[in-house]
Formats: sequence, C-alpha cells, structure tokens
Amino acid sequence: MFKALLKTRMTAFGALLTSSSRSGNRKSKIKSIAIAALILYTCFVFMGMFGMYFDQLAKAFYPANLGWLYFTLFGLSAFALMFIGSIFTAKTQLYEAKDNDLLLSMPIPPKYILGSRMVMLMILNFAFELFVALPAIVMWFRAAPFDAGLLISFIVVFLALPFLSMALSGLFGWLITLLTGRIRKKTFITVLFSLIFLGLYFFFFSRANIYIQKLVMNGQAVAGSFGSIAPLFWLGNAIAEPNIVHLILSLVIMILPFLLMYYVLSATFIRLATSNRGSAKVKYEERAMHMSSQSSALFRREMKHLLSSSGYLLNAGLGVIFIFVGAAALVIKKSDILKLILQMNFDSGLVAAVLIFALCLLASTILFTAPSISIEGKTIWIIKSIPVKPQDVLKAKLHLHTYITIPAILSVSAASIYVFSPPLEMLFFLILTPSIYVMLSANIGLMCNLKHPNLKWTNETQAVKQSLSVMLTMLISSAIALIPAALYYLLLYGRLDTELFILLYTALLILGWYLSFHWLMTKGAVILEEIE
Amino acid sequence: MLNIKGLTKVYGKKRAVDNLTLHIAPGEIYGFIGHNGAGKTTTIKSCCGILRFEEGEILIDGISVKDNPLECKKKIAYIPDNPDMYEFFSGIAYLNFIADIFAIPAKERSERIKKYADLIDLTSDLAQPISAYSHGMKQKLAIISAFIHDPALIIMDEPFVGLDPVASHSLKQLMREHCNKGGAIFFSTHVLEVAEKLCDKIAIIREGRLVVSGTMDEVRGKESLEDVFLGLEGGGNV
Repeated sequence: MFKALLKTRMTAFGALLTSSSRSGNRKSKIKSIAIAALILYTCFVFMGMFGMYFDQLAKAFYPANLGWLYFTLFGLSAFALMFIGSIFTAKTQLYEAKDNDLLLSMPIPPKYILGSRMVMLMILNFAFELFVALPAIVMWFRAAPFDAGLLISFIVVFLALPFLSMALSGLFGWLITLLTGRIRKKTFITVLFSLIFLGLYFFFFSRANIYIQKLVMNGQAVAGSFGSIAPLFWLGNAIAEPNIVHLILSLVIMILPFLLMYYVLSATFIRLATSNRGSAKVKYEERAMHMSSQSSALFRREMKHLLSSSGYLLNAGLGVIFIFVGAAALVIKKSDILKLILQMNFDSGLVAAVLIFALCLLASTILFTAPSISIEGKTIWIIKSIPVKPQDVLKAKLHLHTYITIPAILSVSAASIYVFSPPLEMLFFLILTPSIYVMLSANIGLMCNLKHPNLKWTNETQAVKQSLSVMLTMLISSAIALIPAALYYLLLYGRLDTELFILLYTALLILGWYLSFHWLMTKGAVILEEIE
Repeated sequence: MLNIKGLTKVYGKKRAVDNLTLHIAPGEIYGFIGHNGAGKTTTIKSCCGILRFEEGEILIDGISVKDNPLECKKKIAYIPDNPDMYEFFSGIAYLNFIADIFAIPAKERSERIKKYADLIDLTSDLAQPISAYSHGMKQKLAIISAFIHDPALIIMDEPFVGLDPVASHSLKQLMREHCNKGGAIFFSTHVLEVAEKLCDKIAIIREGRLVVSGTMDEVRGKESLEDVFLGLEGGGNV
C-alpha cells in the first residue's frame, strides 16, 4: 500500500518533468534535453559556489588540524539550505494537498499517507543537501589524503542530516496548521509565524561567526564543557576523526526529533488535515455595492489571491521583506558601510553601479508572476468564459508584481541615495534602472509561466515553488543582473565610463521590457486563450 | 441564438466531437444528452470559447465564437459540471467580481443578487469564503453568477448535480422564466426525467456524433425518453 502511494507521488513528480504542462502530452526530446540541461546548469552553479567556499576552507583547515570544524560547517551549510528549501513546503505538502480527502476515505492508515508525503519532502531535502555535500567531500579529499573511515562517516551523516531538517520543518507545519485550524485569518497568522521563525533562524545564522569563533577558541574542550555547542563539535568530529561515539550521539540528535515528530503528526493527521473548514460562520449583511472597472476587478482578484495564500505570499514575495529590511539596514548601518566603502577605495560612480546591480539582484528574488498562471489551477475556466481580453488578464498579473515590487525597490534606492549621496546622473539611474528591471522580470516570469504552466497541481506549492517556470524565471532574472555586472567588472572597468555602461544597460533593459511586453500582448495572449 | 455548424474537435487521434450541427432558437430550453465521454462537455466548452476547435462554426446571436469570442462571451453565461471557483473570495465578493466584469450598475446587481440568492437559498452564506462551501453551495453560486448579468444564452453542464430538491426546483423555474423572456438555454444532463419535463427540444449524442434531435414529441414519439435513449445506446446505461 505504501509502495502504491509512493508510486503515485513519484508519477506526479515525474509528470512535471516529462509531460507537457499545457497539453498533458509527453514533452518533445528537445524540450526534455533543454530541461535536463537547465537542471544540470542549476546543479553546476550551486555546486560551483559551494565548491569555491569549501576549497578555501579545506586548504586552511586541513593543515591546521581543524577537520572537525570543516565538517561542522558542512553540516550547518547543508542544514541551512535544506531547512530554507523545505520549511514552506512542509505545511502545504502534508496538510493542504487536494487529494487528502480522497486518500483518507480509502482504507489507508494515515501514517502511510503522511509517510509517502514525507518521503517526497525527504527527496527534496537530499537534493538540496547534495549541492553542499558533494563539493564538501571532493574539496576535502583534494586537500587531504583519502580516508575510507572518514568517507563512510560522511555518508552516514549525509543520510541522517535531512531527518533533522524534516523534523523542524514538519514541526513548524504542524504547529501552524494546529494554530490556524479554526481561525479565519489563516494567511496572516501563517505569514506572521513564518516571518518570526525565519527571523529567529537568520538571527542564529547571523551570529554563526561568533559560535564558530567560540568553537575554534575552545577546540576539543567544547565537547565536555560547552553543552549547547557540543553537538556541533560532535557532528564535525564524527566525520573528521572519525569518532564513533560522536557519530552515534550525532545520529541520535538528527534522527530522534524526526521520530518524535512523525509519531505526533501521525496521531493528529486526520484531525488537522480535515480541520480547515471549521471556522465560525460569518453572517451576511447587505451593504451598498459599488461598481468598478474590469481592470480593477481583475487586479483585485490577483491581489486577493496573493493575500489569501500564505504559500504564494511567502514563496513568491519573501524578497519584498528582505528588500525593506535591506533599506532599513542601509540607513541604520550607514557609518559602518561608508567605512567599508572607504577601505575598498571605490569611486562613487562605481559604488552606485554596484548598488544598481545589487538592487536588480534583490528584485530577482520576487516572483509574483512566475506562478501566476499555474495558480489559476482548475478555476482557469472562469477567466476563459467571461468577456475579458486575455491581454487584460495578463496586465493585471503584471501590475500585481510591479505595484508591490517597485515601491519596495524604490525604498532601497532612497536609502542608498541617503547613505551614499551618489552623483546626480547616477541618482537618476538608481531610481530608473531597478524599476525597469522589475518590470522586465515581471514580464519574464509571466512568459515562463505561459510557456510552462502547471494547472493540474494537488497542492499550491507545486505551482508556486516546485515548477519549471519559477526555476527558469529565477535563473533568467538573476542572470540579467549578474552577467552584465560581471562583464563590466572583469572586462570593461577602467575602459568604459561607469555612467555610460549603466546608460547602455538601462537602454537594453527598456528594449527587453518592450519586446517581452509585445510578446505577452500578442503570442502570450493567444497561449492564454489556448491553455486547457 | 446558438448555431453549431459542423463542429469537430479532435484530441490527438480521437474525434471527441464529429461534425455536430445544432440550432437553439430564442425561447428554447434545449437538452443535450449522451453517455459519459460522448462529447457533451467538449461541445459545451467549445460554445463558451473555452476550447478551441478544428473545424466548423459556432455562432451566438449571429456572432462567431472563433472570430469574436469576446462579443459572444458578453451574451452568454456558463455553468460548468464541476464548479471550481475562487476559494479566496467570499460568495458575495465573487458575485461582485462577475458583476464588475459584466459592468452591471451597483443598484441592479444588488437587486439581482438578492433576488437569485433568496430564491435558491444562498443569502445567509454569501459572506462565507467559497473555500467553506459544499459542492451544492458552489453550484448555487455558479447559478447566481450566471443569471446576474441577464445573458441571452445560458449554457449549463449538468446543472442539477449537487443541488438540493428546493434549489433544483427553483433552478427549473428560473430556466423557464429566462426562456419566456426570450432567452435560450442549452444544457447537458443525465437525468432523463428532468429533460423530459423541462426541455422544448433535445439532442442525443453518441461518440461525438449527433444521433437524433428535435422536439420532445419528435424524438420520443409514444415512448419514454429513457426507452428511446436506451434503445439508441443499445441497452447501455446513461
């Protein structure tokens, strides 16, 4: 029975990669190769990043006999990536799947339903962990001689670590579902708790340097005396030495919370998975009605959808929070930042250019349009049967993205202007360029989703997070910010005037925006009409 | 009002609808009957501009669905077989959305919502989020949203599924009133007794092809509609 459930989950996951999302037919060979290449490219980028990081660490830590610290940092990095990658997925995947009612009506033990969903989350965690683990072990053996015992311990930790991440994300999902089971403002509470949780998480990781310094300073003594930090030492030492006692202790710490979480979740699964309709009834009172235009009705529909879905809001819009935090941090840390800039000896034009690209990169984390077609799901018949132009539907989706993102990005522009007092011409670009970039990235998201919609999801996370269009949008949007910046820094700096380069970049963004908007209003509108 | 001429819709190699021709005149309630997978929903969705079709022509009030879908959609309302609706809206917010799309003035929309919601007993639930609605309540909401903009033609796919007996009775009443005012209704159903009592004309479709159509008397003669249908289907179930 469990195997059958797993097969269903695997088939659904496989269909995302092998079936054409618009027609349901199998993807062409070329498309499949393109998707495989894209996945390989993503792996290459992530592993390359971690590879460079671990290369530096291995070269420094192996000669200093700090192998345990190296593997502690591996554990922390892998855990961070897995946790961020799965925290918002856990709640929707476990409790809000559309097939929960169907499965619960069958003679299937709830623990099997829960288990099959957890296996899928576990696979996701392993995929994230692999991005860190592979570079970490390769770089270590490039700096140190091969040690079979170390490799075996490493593999054991690799297999066990996702259980800890699963325990925390599962527990988080359980708590939120429990708390919001019978209240009306589910989205608000979920978002609030998610932000508090993320805040605590980032607070802990922002202090990671302090903990690492503590670890380095106290070395082996940590194991006995520093109770709270000792598990980090055990984890690193379990691999580096490899110390069997520390390995067993680490395994207990990684697996025991998961078993407890699984026990609690299995016992409460039916109640929580079916409690989402229990909120108090709202009495209807007749009020005066107001007429509004089609375009504002369509925009309101998009906004309401966004605000009512914590999954959509958090996965697609978390960047907005980061942007506002970034703006506040710039103002608060003004003097420290200015000192740093002075040390780096950058001219003010270059500082402004760096800021412009940084703002664009920040904006690329906001993905409102990338899943906006997919989240229509089975309700797509409504916009297709009412007398609205597909162009107007698409415009409403673009407006949602730009009306939220541009003010956010302008707040950082304003903070940057206050902190750095850039030259007048760069001040103009600091406002204009990121705004154009936001409009272009909104178009890119919508284009990717029109080309790769997924209307047949069983939980909204599949549309919002685990979709090709979202992945493509992130890659393309970030490349549009990163590649020109790298190109300028590596090849053109000193040869081409910074202001002129930014002017050319902005002109290209405007051209890109115009062409993509034209595509959306012509071919994109036809695709929307044809989506079934 | 609705003219379907030689409609053909192909999925891969399968002809879901094959050269179908029908004419629904103003004032008519037209029933569309066929077994599961016969091509009823495909025909209905093609009429509403939801599905594109390969061959043939569909005209609504003389306007082509293919060439001018927007103008056609202004004249019709569609109620699907499975009313998946925006769960992020409340019932009243959804009706307001539909009213805005069809540019219904505030006073009229208020009156119409009250009239239809009272008639099919959904008024007290209008402030509830649609996510809390049962299948029947969603069906009722879809019915109100169809009648709210006073369309010339209403196209319904299995409209009675999930409705309680009172709402079902009210819907039949609304359908008749609508046609008495000069509107037309084209709907699919498996409930042959309803079709027999309610429809002015019916069409029976099998494997995408029209088997028989005409007034109720023309189709059934002295037999019951069930006998006619089972005879045409070779004794199979509906």
